[in-house]
Amino acid sequence: MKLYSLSVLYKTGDAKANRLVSAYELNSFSFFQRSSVKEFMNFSSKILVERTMPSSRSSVKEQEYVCHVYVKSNNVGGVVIADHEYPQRVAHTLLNKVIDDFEAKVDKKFWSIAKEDEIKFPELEQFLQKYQNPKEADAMTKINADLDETKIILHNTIEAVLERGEKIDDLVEKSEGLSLQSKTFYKTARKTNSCCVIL
Amino acid sequence: MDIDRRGWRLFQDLNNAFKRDPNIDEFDFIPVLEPRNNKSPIVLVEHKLGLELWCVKILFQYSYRSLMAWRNKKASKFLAPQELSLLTRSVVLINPECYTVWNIRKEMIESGDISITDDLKLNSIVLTKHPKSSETFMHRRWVLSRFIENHLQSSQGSTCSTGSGIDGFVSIEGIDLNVDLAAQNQLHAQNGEDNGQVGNDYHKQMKLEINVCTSSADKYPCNYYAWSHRTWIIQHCYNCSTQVLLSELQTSQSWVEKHISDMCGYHYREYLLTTLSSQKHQLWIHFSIQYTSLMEKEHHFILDLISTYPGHETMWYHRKFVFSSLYDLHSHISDDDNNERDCESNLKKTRLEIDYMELFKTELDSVEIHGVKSSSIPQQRFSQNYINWLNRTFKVK
Repeated sequence: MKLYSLSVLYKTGDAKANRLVSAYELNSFSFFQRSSVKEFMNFSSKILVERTMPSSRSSVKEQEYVCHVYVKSNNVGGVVIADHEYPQRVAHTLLNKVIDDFEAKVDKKFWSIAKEDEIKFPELEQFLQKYQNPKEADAMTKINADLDETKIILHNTIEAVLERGEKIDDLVEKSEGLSLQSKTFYKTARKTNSCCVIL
Repeated sequence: MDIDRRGWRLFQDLNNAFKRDPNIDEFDFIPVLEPRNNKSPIVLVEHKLGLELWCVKILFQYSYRSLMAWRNKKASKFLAPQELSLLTRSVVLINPECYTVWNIRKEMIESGDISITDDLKLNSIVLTKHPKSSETFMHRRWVLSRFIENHLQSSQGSTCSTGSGIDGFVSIEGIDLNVDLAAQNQLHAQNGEDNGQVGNDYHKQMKLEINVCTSSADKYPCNYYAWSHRTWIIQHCYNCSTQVLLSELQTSQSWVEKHISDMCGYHYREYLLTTLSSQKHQLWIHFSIQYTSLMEKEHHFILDLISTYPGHETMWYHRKFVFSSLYDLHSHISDDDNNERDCESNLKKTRLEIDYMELFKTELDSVEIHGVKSSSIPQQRFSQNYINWLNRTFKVK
């Protein structure tokens, strides 16, 4: 039951998204994989927010990971990447709390103009650590949490979220955020069909 | 041959890395497909050893061929034990399923050319990259058997018996029970404090073994080999001591809470509980624990998990085990109990006899009320299956 990354992003006007700030917990990955894992989690978070409509939530399964996304009507988006054991409801409650806190602490004027990792929001790291144990973090786990009425859309692969004709392999190849090593990591893992592809 | 020369170079680089850092604790491949100018493909950072992908095949072929040539006496070259050992190291790091090479290491351990400690250390590093390698675990058990033999031999002069003597080697740090202090001290005294150093080494190694099992289980879900190894340790290194079983019950609980759909974790707990069920006497005498209360605790544990995290079938399998055990405990009158039972526990015994019907009804109600009405569709399905199983399996008069 793990949370791997937590990010706040902003949907800009041109169907793109900027990743503003992130926190990661990568200790369960082997040492040399960590930088690639981080890059892929950023890559996925960005793609998901880009393709999620404002005021909607979804949980996207990809192999043994689940990416939970929430984009608010004001275009602020949150993505938490977890394993398949982590309860969906708690993940979305976490996203609510993170975005509310972010809006309260970071001035609106920075949201659309800040560069990646420029904004300082140390509470994000605390949220990630606290919510590693859903029972401790969220007393409402057993009782129905007070999520708003927005239904959570479920997808079985990240590819399901893409536009028709778009392929994940192409997006990986074109991505500027992925290093050569990460792209190689992706290709070799795909070839051997091993379970260390994180997307 | 050009490949041999490159292979030899890589082999030297690998050996130098280990020489530079004797505390390497992790190994992995790095996804770099082409050699870079004058940069060694063997990367060493913070005790983590990495091997760039492009050179894996070359290094492996060089090491494997050299070893096989030596073994088949095809090469006229004599290989010194030191070199042999290093060649085996590069082979198993890359492909630990090569049991011929592990067997070469066994021969070298027997002849004293490789120390048990060094071999176990390499074995642990191999497991960081290949956590589900059955050959690696099997070899580890062969080495540990010799380790145990050596330690039992060196404790020959002490006052402890070979059987329960292992009890004294166990630390009770992991146990969170109201253990009777007098009983603890008695156990320690029995096993002779003059065994100090030998006991410490043994205990240290066993703690390491448990850690290796845990890391391997963390790295690869449902890691049957890691959990089998753990069970083997409990049986062969700790002799299924009650103290250790209780301690493991405690430790594995938090692991299971973090890996709720990993069947191996639950299965391990089932093994611990089943083994403890044949130690009811010791449980009562030394730890003042009724076996039934352990099973009832487990029942609460699994019910709590099921309601907190709906929709995971694994937990329902464990629930079946727990409920069956509880039902059996309550519905059978055990003949093997001692006659020294006081009034209180005799009364309890009578109460237990009529309780099993209540137990069934409570269990059925609980699933019908909570499980079937869950908002999770898979949970509804699992609940219904469980109800069907209850009705099928337990004929309540």
